[in-house]
Order: sequence, then C-alpha cells, then structure tokens
Amino acid sequence: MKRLTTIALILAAAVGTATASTATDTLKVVENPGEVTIITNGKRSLSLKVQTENSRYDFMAENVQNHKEPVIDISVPFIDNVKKRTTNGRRPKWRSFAMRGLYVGASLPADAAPGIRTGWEIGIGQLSGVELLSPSRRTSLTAGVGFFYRRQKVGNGYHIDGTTNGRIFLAPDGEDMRSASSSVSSFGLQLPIMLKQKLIGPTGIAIGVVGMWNTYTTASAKWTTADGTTCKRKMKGLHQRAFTADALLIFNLGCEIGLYARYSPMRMFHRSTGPEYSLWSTGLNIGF
Amino acid sequence: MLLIACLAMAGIALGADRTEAARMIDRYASSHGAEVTVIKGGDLSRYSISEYHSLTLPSADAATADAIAAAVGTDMASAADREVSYHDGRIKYAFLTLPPDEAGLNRYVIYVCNPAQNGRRRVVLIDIKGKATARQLQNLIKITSK
Repeated sequence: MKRLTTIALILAAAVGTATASTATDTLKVVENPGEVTIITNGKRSLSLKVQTENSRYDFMAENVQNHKEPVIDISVPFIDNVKKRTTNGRRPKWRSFAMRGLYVGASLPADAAPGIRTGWEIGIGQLSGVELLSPSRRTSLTAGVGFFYRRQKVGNGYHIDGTTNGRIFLAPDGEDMRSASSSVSSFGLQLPIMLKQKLIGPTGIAIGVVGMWNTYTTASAKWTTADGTTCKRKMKGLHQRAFTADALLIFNLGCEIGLYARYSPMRMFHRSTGPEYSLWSTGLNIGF
Repeated sequence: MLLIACLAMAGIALGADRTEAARMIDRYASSHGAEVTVIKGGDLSRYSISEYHSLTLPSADAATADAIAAAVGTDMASAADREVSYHDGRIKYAFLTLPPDEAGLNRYVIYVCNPAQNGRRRVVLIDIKGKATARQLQNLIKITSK
C-alpha cells in the first residue's frame, strides 16, 4: 500500500523573509520572487524553485512508497572534538595496581633526642592498591597497602637499656662499656593515600599521608666490656604505638625513578614506654 | 509582594530569550537514558558558537516525543528560517533559525526524531547559540538519511 509522505526541504535559505506571524506549517515566505518554476511528474512528485535576487529556494514533495519510516542520522563531530580537547574524551577511571613505590633511604632524627643517630629504612609503599584517575589521566588519587622496615641507630655515648616489662630507655654508656651500639627496629604495614600529579614530560609529584601500623618492634644493644667480653641484648615485646602517621612527598624524575622525603612527626614511643623521637627520612623511590 | 512580582518579572525577562527546545532539554535532562551535553565557551569559540545544549533520548515514550515535537513546533512558529521534514504529519527533522537574542547572537534549534524499538522514539534535540551563521552550522553538522 502506498502512503502519501511529504518530504520538504528548503535549501539555500539566506535572505528571504519569514516573519514570526507565519503559520508553523509554512516553510518559507519569499517576497517579490524573481522567478518561480513548478515542475510536476504526474502524481509522483512536484518541485518548486523560487529565485530571488540573492538566493534560490528549492522545494520538493514526493509520493514515495514507504513501508518503513526513514532514519535520519545526525552527528556533531565538532562537539566531539571540543569534548576530546576538554577531557581527552575520557571519564574518571578506577584501576588497581601492584608493586609501586619501592624505597630505600636514610632516616635522621628531627628533634634533638640525645643518642638518636642516623638510621635507614626500606619498604614498598604500595604492594597493591587502587587508583582513581582523572579524565586527563594526569592526576590521580591512590590508596594501597605496603610494608616497611626501619632501623634507628643509637650512639653518641648512649645505649638502649630496658626493663623486663618491655619498657626501654636511653642510658648513658657505662665507664666499662666499649664499642657500644644500639638500635630500634620496627617492621609493619603502611597504608599510603597519595595524590599524584604528572608534571612536564615523565616527571611527576605525589603527596600524601601514610598510616603506619607498627606491628613488630624490637630493640637491641651490643657492647664490649673492658675485659673484652662482648655482650648482646635483644628486647622484644615493646610498647610501641600501634598506629602512627607520616607525611610523604615523592618527586618522580622519570623512568619510574625518583626521590622521596618523609616526615614522621608521631613518636613511636610514649615517654613512659621508650625514647621519644621524630624522624625525617629521604632516599630513592622506584615506581611512581 | 512587590519583591516577588519584581523577581517574577525578572525571571520572565531572563527566560524570554530561551527557546522552547532549551526548556525541553532542561525538563527531560534527568529522564531515564537521557544523554545531555552542555558546553559553554572554551573551544566552542573556534566554531563561533557560545553555547551548545543537546539532549538525546534513545527510547522516549510517545508522550515525551510528542511534547518535544510540540515545543519544536512552537519554536518553529517564531523561526526566521526553517528546514523541516515531516513523516506521517509529524515533524521528523527540523533545523530552525530563530531571531537573534538581545546580545545579537544567532539561535538555532535542531531536532531529529527516529523510530526506536517497541514503538518508542529516539529523539535528538540541540539548542545552539552563537555568531555562526546557519550555513556555517550546517557545514559543521552531518545529517544523513537512510
């Protein structure tokens, strides 16, 4: 069955006058047309051409066999380009990752605690974690879990001594003590939350807070007496703070290699349970 | 009361430049499956366009499609120029050039209504404001009929 379908198109509309008072089904009002041409093709179609001084209007009505409604596709490529330029065509994205932020460095006492010397630390900032990437992929927020080991040396005329109930303290070396060396070692899990920003080229910076879960802490002391006897003492079951927090700054130089600086303002021991000291540490960071 | 009346008048004055199509985009922006794009300024200026609002309803029901078509019909009545295609007495495609706004920016409304599954309609409605001429805009937008 044939259904009457009218398809009307007006092209080259530029100068003609159509006022707001025209009916909605009026396609165009052309005043003073120079030439009007009407061509019919029986009942199949009718075309109308209107020529003005500056423009031409083509109108065509067709009887078409139409069992199915035609589909008109519209695409706006320039808007897609604008979107791409704005956001690179991306949306924020979650992803998981593994092994990021292997570090090794030196730790220095941040306050003037007597006897606390430079130590060292090693760890993996984020053994595994998740990352929320911005649409530009240059900024991200990461959270993960890793582990750390930190060993802080004691010296300068002091050594670590302790009581049987797990409390330790810094004591001046005795007169008969030779080559005394002590240290506090701590192992645990760390939970960094970092905000990362890529800078020029491969460089980038990350800043964040690292929750430290100090699961295992020991202290050791070693000295030699005047008669040449070597003494060693290992102290376990210490009363360290279970949770502390560090501030961490990483500067990535490129190729996943960078430098880090970490500030540990929360002292691992309370005054009644051990020596109080806060630390600065800095070193090499691999994996950004 | 006077304040409310003044605010109402200000609201009417501010909204006077808005097309019915723009109102429809706001109205159906939160509809199920609606895809809305709003871009103002920025890189649009490369194309002499100030504002771009679009609404795509991939599966609009008949009432929604009719309401949007009626709004397009209202804009059509005030259009300075029209390029319209009808199917079975309904507007299928419209490219409307509306009179410039108070700032002298040209306003355009583009409407496409295609069949979707289960008798529903796929409606695309675009409202554009800028210095671009209709011819420039038509060169930027690709329209094909199957």
